[in-house]
Amino acid sequence: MPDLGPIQYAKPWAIFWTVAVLAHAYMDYSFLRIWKRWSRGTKTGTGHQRNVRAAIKIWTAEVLLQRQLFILSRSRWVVHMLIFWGFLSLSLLSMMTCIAAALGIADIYTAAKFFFSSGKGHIFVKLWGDIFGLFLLAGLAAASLRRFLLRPSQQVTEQADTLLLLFLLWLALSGFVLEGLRLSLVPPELARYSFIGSLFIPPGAYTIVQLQPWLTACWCLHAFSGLALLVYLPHSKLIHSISAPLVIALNASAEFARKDIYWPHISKHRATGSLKD
Amino acid sequence: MAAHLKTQGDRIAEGLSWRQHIELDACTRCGECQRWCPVYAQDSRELLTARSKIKYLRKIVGERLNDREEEKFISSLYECSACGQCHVVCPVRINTSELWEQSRASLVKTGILQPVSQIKQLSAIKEFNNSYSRPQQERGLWADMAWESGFLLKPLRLWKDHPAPVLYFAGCTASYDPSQQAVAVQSARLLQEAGIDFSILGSEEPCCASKLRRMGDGDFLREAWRRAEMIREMGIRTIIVSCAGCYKGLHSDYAGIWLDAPEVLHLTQFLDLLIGDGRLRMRHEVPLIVTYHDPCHLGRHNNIYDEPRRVLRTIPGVKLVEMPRHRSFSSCCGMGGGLKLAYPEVQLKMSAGRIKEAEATSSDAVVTPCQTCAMGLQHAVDEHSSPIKVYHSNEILIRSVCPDVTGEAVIEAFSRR
Repeated sequence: MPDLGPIQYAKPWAIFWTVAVLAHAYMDYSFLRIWKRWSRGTKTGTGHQRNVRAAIKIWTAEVLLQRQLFILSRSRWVVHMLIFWGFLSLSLLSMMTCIAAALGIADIYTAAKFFFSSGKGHIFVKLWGDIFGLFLLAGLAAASLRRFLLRPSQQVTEQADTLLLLFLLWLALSGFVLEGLRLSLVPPELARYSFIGSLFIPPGAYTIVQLQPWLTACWCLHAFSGLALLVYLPHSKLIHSISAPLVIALNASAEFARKDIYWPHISKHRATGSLKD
Repeated sequence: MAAHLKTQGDRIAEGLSWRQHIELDACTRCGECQRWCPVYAQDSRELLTARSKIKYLRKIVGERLNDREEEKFISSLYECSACGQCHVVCPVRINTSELWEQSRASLVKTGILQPVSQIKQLSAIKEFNNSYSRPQQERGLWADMAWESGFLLKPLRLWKDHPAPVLYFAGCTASYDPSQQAVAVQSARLLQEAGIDFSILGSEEPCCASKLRRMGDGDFLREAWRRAEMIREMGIRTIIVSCAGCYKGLHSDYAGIWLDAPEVLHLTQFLDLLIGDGRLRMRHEVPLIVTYHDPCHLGRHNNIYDEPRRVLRTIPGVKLVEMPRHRSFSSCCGMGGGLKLAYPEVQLKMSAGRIKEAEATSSDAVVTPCQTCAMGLQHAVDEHSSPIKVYHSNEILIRSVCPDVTGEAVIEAFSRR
């Protein structure tokens, strides 16, 4: 059984953790300011009795499955679902990797950590990264195509939209390039689990010594870009990833009580024969 | 924060609810609102879209807008009928019409007033208790005239003389506007035909004041509270309204005001129940192909889609066909939200657009259970010499139940008086 563990190369953990703490602190501060801004409004209830079951049902349908978008436009639903689930799952993966690294620093080795970083579980981690990396990449490519080439009349592109799209593309691509470099050093039978990452394997044969500086540089670019996203998130339209689920959750009980436009079957009410996307 | 240190943005921010603040940050500018906006369809300026309004609103609560931006924002906020179409299609489900109304009220509190034409009407409502600047004593005249003209089975009784189980609330338009008084007369006659024991308030009937809320008047809560208290003290338990605006007002706007809320029903809901119970019988065939226009205040705002359609379908001879945009996607005629007062030319275009949609269905008539919508649509028919007829749903029903009380007959009889 070959070693399934990660390829070892230098990573500036001390700098990374320092920057991570600072970036996180800044993000928390930004969220605090946003919360204060929201708090300037009057405190009002939903005006309806809370219905937790209905709220969970609506939240699941509208946030996790994005039903409203599905009804309005299937193509936009696919694109947004790819980005949403890709981004969410990769963020989760990065978070888990950071926790694993932190456990390593603290010299805490658990069976789970060993399983996922060196054992058979490592394959699942790689597969997870590749599948959801592909989701994100495909979603971003389709979103770029729509925004810059198809240009539907309802679309307005501001600098911030372009910046965010490029930034997310950069994050996804830099992750795959790093993966490709790493895979060039492992036996081919292991590379197949990273079915997208293996497409980024550079041509030729290299040793760990030859690739070490490149691996470190790529890791730095990817990891620090991820931290930059933490700083940018509260100031970008990615804030909707926090506020939109919140609005949906807050409105869910009221919508259920009103039995209104969203409940139970909006598709029954939609326009027919006009405004096809 | 000390009051004197508050900026204009702070004061506007305080006028919005915390949920609305979150909504401002939830908009992703996807543009779905633009695709469906009935105002944008007539005047394709980005400024008019919900996403643009939200963008400016976010800016105005965060910092001071410069004069040019402020002017642009205000015009976009009032060049809107608050029809709620953007709410229906918003993937994040931002409650836009509520947001626009609250923003209008919030701006007014800081001294940024509504367009002059709206202020005039709001002042009239507060001074005369109706939007027609007419004496309150004349409000119940339609009932006397209807009895004297032979349109009713028996004279209508006032609540103070006969507190019946049901109150018929006619509203300002059906009480004062000669072109719409037939709606009140026909409503009363239909209730009598069904054997309902009801009374009216006559000259004591107040304006529901919902227009104050629509246009952001700061006195809305006080005025609504006064009316709610009056109705509570009278012990009224069931109110039937024939106006979509009054329904939205008494049913939805007053929701947080009533101490002991009476049941508020739109006439079509009540008639639907009566027809279902076999209490209202259709006697004559009405051979018409009709298309139904959903008033925003009944449909999108209150989820009343089925009852009016069921009522129409029970009328023998009536064939109901749908326009491409119907139910929650129904195109607004532009009569709501004070748009007609501030931007009459935009409203006319919106109504004309709706009439074109109706014409495309090859219907004989477009039917709506709202006299305000009927007025707006009729204006477009007149302006564009369209062959299609515009009817309040009462008109179709009355032709089947008692054809001697047609709108034409009522208008003619009343005009002689």
